[in-house]
Amino acid sequence: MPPGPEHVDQAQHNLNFLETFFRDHKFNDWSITVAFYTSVHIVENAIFNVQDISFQGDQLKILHSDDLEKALQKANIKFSSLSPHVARNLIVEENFLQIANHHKSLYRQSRNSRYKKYQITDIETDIIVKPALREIIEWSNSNYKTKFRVNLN
Amino acid sequence: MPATIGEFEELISGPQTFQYLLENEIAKAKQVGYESGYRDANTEIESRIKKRIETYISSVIKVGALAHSLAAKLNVKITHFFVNFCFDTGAIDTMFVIDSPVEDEILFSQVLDEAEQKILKEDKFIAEALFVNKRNKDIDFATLKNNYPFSFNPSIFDSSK
Repeated sequence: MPPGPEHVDQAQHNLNFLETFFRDHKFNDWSITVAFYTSVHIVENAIFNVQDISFQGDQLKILHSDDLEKALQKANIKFSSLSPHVARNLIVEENFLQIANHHKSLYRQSRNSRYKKYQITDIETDIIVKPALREIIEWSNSNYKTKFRVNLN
Repeated sequence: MPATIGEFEELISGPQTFQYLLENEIAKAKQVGYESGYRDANTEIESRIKKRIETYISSVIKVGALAHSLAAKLNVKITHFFVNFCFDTGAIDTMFVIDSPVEDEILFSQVLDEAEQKILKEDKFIAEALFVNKRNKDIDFATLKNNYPFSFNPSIFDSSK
């Protein structure tokens, strides 16, 4: 995973990509997946900016969610192995409450497409993606001086 | 009186050496010690693993119970609760099949967040609770059961029982 500034570029790149096909509603599963990975990059940029994150009451210095497992070991916090997504979700839930619900919702929806046989309705996609990205983008732009923009209407 | 084995050995003679008898006894004692140590260690490991699995399973059930009790307050019906047991990593991997209006999915997602947080704080297990909404959809239960091989009957969480 790249450092903070590259996450900003990647997030905007994903948003630009999303704009090219979102309104057609031909690839609703991909709309959700791209929205989720946009959120991933926005969150990683936030972690890079904050660096000092809280985990179960302990303060940990990390630059990226990949560092969480090592930081937990260093701080003698015992947990089983963490997948990168699970590690990031834990950080978001404890440190970025304002977007936690939307980030987790996008994560869950991107994970369950396969079980729906990729039948995701247009309304469903709108309900899941639009408010989530709006909230996450506004949060990042006001807290981390990013200038993300997207038009999905 | 001989005070040491060396002094004692000087007093006896024979085809068999005292050293041989001694080594033989030590070997037998070691074998007994090894077997009883092995038995004790086995019992200890077995009871530790049983305890860990019991805690793990009770945490899995807790995830299910929490989700059911919180979902009852929403317009969400849990129809299936699948689990992939990961005893080796201790990760709790669960999947709920729900029947709900799309608008309530984000609320159910929050319910699952709450359940995950509770398990992390109280039981120190990292739980991942996912869901799929079956309303107006043909769910791929074969893939689901392949990825989450165990299922709980949701009626066990029915508080009215």
